[in-house]
Amino acid sequence: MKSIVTVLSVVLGFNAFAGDPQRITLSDVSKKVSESNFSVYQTAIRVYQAKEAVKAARGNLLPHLNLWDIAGAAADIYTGGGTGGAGVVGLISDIVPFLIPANWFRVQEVKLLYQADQLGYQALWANELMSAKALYMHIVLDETLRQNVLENIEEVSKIHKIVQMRELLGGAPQGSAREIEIRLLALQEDKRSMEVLLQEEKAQLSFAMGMPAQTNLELSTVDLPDLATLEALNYDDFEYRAVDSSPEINQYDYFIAASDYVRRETMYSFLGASSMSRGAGGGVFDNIPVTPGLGFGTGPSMRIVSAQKDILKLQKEGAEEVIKRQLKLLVNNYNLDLENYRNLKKRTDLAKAALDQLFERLSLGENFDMLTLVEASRNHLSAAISFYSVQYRFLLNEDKLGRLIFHGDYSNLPNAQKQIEEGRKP
Amino acid sequence: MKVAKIVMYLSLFLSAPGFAFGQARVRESKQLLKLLEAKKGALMGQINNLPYRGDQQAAIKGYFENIEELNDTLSGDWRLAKRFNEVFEGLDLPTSCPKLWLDQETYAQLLKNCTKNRFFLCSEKVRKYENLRENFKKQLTDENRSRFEKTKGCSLQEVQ
Repeated sequence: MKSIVTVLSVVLGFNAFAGDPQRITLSDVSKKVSESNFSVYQTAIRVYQAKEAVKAARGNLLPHLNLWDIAGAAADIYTGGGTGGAGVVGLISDIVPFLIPANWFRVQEVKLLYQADQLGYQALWANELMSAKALYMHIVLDETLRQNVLENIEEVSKIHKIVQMRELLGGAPQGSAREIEIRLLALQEDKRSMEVLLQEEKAQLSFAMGMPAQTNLELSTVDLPDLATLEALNYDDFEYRAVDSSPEINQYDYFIAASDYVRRETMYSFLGASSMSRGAGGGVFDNIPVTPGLGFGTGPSMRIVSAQKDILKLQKEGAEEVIKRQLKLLVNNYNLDLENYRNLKKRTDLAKAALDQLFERLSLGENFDMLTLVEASRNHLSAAISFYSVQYRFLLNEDKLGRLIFHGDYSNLPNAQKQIEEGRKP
Repeated sequence: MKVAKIVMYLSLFLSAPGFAFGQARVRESKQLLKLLEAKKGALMGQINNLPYRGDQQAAIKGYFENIEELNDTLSGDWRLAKRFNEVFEGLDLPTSCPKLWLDQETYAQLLKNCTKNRFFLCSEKVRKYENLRENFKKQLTDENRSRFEKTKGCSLQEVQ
């Protein structure tokens, strides 16, 4: 089985390097971002570090051997105690580190910070996934728009030829063909710009999916929902879940809980300070001055910790407000698109009917201003672009709402630990 | 005679802590079941209050979270799981199960109430009810599991 997988990956890898298009779907994006995105993988390693930091902190409570300290203490005793026996006392932190309360508090802090790191990982993963999915949908939309522009170029070219002929025969005013050619050239410019934009977007997507730069992506289309069957949403229905499931908010609960241990650590610092690291997520408490021994600095240090806790509480409130505001905005946009959908659909149908009618009149030999036909074609293109844009914008908003309440793809958080253990590397 | 008395007192003295711990675990098992019953009651009290807002959502989440916690507690403490099974054996399942578990119809209604367009608005744990019950079943002894599966109102097959 392993050999089949290896052969397949070699073949796929070769194909990617050879520039052959690699077809992907929206569900592939979720899978690849979870497994191979550089930032997600990097954060997964950080979570792994935080988990190992818990084990390290626990292990550091047990006696450990520091040969140089022992030699120093022995020399101290031998030479008659030049340091007044301080070397022997200093050995306590090596031989019985569990007698130092600060070490126990540090273990609790590291455990809580590990939980916070896991939530940080969840938030980052969800953001990366949302960006990659948004990019995918933008590309599919731009592909659709490019297709529409191509159709429009074909239409306008046809009209251009007819007008050129009429101009020669005197059936159309002089300069009509030139006007249409200007329009045609503008459309060709649009087409080329869109092709460059698509290439850029695909490169960004392949990067987000942790794929090599040479990968040539080909995207499958996305099923567009029938917006006519959907109901308008209510902000209040979403509020609880958005706040409850937000890792950005929940992360603060762990920081706040850890701050209580930092306070106790400061309080008992007269029994010795801890030299253990708080791990990768401990940066939030780096500015707390904890000095070993009982001194006049202990009181202010404790007040600094309390103030830090207040800051964290405020930050949590702020994060909650940001989430609520984003939710409100998304619900409003979602409802707006639902309301506009019917109008836009009708506008597109009418523009198409008007254009078809003009072509029919033309085929029957009727003589009318050709610029009217060009205008109708332009209207049709503009209506189609608006229609598709709204449909994809709706999908994007729906996905953003999913991200906010951790629904759908966002409810399947990859196991960071498992990811590291299985050695999945981008 | 004296030796026998000493042995008796000694054995009583030595077995007392074990007995006390065992009783504590029986009490804890009963409390776990009571808590689940209370959470189910809270959920049932809110299930028809539509649309679901903070209070309703909290009650719904509370029930499913409690099942998850119960499973975690039992799987992490085999001594407690043993006592729990003893307590479970003494339950009259046809009357107890409806107090502890949701029936298929109520669960289907809950799923419907929690769904709006293509969104599921309640806790994701609601959708994992079948898994939660399956995990609960794993904590039971063969005999209790068989009783649980055969009793109407407990059976997993009733939940889709």
